Amino acid sequence: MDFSKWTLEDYKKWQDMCMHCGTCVARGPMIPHNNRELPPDEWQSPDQKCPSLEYYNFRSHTGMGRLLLTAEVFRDNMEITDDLTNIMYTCASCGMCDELCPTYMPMKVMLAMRQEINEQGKPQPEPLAELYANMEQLKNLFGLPERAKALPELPQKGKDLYFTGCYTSYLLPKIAHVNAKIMQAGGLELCHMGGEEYCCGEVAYQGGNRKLFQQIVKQNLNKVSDTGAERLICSCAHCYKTWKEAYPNILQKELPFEVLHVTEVLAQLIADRKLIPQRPINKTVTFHDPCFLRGSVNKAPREVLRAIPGLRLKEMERYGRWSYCCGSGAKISLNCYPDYAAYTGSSRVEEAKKAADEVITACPVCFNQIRYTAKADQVDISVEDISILLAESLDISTALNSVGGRTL
Amino acid sequence: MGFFERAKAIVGPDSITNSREVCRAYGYNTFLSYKQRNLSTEMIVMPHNVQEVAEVIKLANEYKVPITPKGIAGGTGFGGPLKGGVLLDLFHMDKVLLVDPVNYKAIAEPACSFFKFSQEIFKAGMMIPTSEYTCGPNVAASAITPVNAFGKTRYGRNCDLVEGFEVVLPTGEICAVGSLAYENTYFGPFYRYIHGSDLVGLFIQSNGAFGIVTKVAYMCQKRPPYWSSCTYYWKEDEAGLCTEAMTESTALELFDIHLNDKWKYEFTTSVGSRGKLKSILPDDAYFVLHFTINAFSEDELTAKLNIIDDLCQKLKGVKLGDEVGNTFFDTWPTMHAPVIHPLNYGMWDCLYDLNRTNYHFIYDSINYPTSKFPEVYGKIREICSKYGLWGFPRPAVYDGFPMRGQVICSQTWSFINSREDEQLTNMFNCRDEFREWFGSVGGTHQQHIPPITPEYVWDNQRSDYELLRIIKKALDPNNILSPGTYSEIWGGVKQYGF
Repeated sequence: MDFSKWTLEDYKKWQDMCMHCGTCVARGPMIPHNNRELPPDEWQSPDQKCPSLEYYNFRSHTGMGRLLLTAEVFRDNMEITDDLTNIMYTCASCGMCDELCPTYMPMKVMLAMRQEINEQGKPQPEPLAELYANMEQLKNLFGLPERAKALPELPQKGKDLYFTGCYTSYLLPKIAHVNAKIMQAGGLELCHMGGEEYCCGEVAYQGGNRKLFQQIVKQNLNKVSDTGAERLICSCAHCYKTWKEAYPNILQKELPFEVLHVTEVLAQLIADRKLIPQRPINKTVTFHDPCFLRGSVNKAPREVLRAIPGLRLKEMERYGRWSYCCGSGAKISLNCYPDYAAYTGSSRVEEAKKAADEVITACPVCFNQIRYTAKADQVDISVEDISILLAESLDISTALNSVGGRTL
Repeated sequence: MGFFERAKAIVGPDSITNSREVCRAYGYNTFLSYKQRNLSTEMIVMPHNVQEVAEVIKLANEYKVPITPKGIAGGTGFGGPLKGGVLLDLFHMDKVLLVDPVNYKAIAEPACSFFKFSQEIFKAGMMIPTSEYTCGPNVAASAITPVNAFGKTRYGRNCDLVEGFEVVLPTGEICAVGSLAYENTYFGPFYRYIHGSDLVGLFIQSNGAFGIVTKVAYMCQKRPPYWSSCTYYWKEDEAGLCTEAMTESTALELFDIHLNDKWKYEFTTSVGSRGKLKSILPDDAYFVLHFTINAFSEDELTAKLNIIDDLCQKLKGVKLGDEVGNTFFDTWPTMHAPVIHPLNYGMWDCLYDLNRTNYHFIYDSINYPTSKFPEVYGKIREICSKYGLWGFPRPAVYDGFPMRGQVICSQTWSFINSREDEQLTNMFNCRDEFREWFGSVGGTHQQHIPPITPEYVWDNQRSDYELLRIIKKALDPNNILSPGTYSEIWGGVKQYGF
């Protein structure tokens, strides 16, 4: 089945295809045992994979349970209650259920259900209303009036548009600054939309607020079009996934520019020897794959790390394709179900600490969540963004005061 | 403090719920969704260990609240009340407890999936000669569920491979039977039989009515390193020759023999908007036997393949080429996992176009002498045809598993939309008429699943059933565990409340 063009409306008709095999309940993967040989490497997976199953334990909180309940709503007119809404919104949107079950795509169906909850005007988790209002009125997730002064001076038009996203622009300006400096060092003619950069709308999409998301998509596409960019580069995995998949899906057409995660760009610059990390960084780190990069962009970050002399990468038990959510859960878990987010985050931090004393990630949302959780849990582990390590190895200063920042 | 609060005190607040929506999410079965949509338990309880299971059962006895265990994929959850009661979800009890490559034994907790169990055994150089499962089916449900759908290789069904159980009896007493009765001895678990009667057998296919299984011991085998497969077909009028091939080959040391009629593969040629898949079988193929062979040396493997080839050729079987006869048929049993073979994806497309659903409605699940296959198949065909369930556009599919002992276990199923009343009515009428005939010739319809067939009363082999009811009354006087299983209450079942 080719799902590439399926809209969430299409998925509303799809739930009855789940045959309740229970793979997601039993933690997968969806491959049979074979007495001839063990599953191939790509199907070898750790035990615990779905955050909502691991926290809530009930089958309602698995891909199958959500498919079943969704079918009842769409096919049997089951009433949407608060419990049902919570079951749908406690999915972390990590996509692991789609990984376990590429046949029935439970997460897409769950997103269709969230859309239905919105469109029926049913109550949603309370914090979402504020997040929607922030995105709609102030064009950022946090409802902040001003961006941090972080990026180096960049033109507003150019071939490569750096889309920094809310987390990097408002909370973690150092990451934006360093990424921009590295890409410039690699010879890219980088541009940025400055104060005209609006939130990508991920929470509207993930929350099922189709109307708001369509509005944001329209605004953002117009603005990107004004820059003349051929490539849109995101350093946030959430922005990346939203631009890469949700935008073309809701538009039902390809975007007129390429969407890349910054690690893909950096890995290519390294491969082309336009960036040559030379300063050794002698330590062992582990890498946290952000959920929204896990399946599609899990090689590039590792290529970047491997290029740094002296750096040793020790994988966690759950990595790459089978990585585990940091707890932010598309920012919906984080904002609406903090206990659940904290539990999931603790599990991830504990796992990271087993592997190394420093965890690297490639997403500011994961960065923030892991750093916060480690502090809350009093786990002695450093957290760093991949760009910072690379900058150090490239001898690019990571200090914010070293450049003339501007108010964006 | 009522039942709910006291049960919560036993398992903890996070392991019990009476949320209507959570309970509804348990109203499913892998193949049989019909009528379960409107059925729901009143609460889900998730014990963490055998002691908690025992405490919950004691409490249930005190309040006379029914308890039914629920497997992962399907399995159990059938024997409970149609509405109300407790569904026991053993999610937390999923560990592999013992893998013993010296004595070829393995023990697991009930909710351990067969996939996980088999993987661990594999790593120790062993196998359980059963179907090659995906994650869903678990080790307990597949032994105690009274349908034939679990296991089914030439070695028998999963339940034939069980050597011991730990069970919590309806009184809350923890009891070990079969090899698990030896668990804490110097010999350790080694044999199913002890004092006399086979008590493991009491719990097999019992739906959990005599006790909640909390550990299962399976007998394992050394895993042969050499594997191959081959497929032969027979024409429509050659059911007798195909039967001879089955009876002779089950006497050989093979891993598995799988019989299908052509409809399992041919339905895709008539439905589906995506160009209709090309038939994968030759025009004259009708009965298809797929053999899975294993051996400890290449010579042994070659010899076995030659024996099968000689046998099939002698009986006019025609060999299929490797792509279909080997690669595809090896992956087809993985229907749970269509990610494995592109053709399976194509089939899913067809199913979506046909029904917008993927329910395999299995309307029989039966055992009978392998030698009687032509007659049974003929009757299935006759009755299915009468109800519009044969051939295009809605073919019934025959799935047969010859086992040693010259018993064949088979199911007939069709893809239907369980929300279409006409399709369901035809399906039920077809099933009832077949069941009547099958019972009259000595068969017992194995799908005695109360929520699916609430009107069904066991008229066949009645003495066996009556004895089970006597045992049930003695062990579970309050009829707490899976109360629909050995009583005739389900015709007018009451809703349990608290």
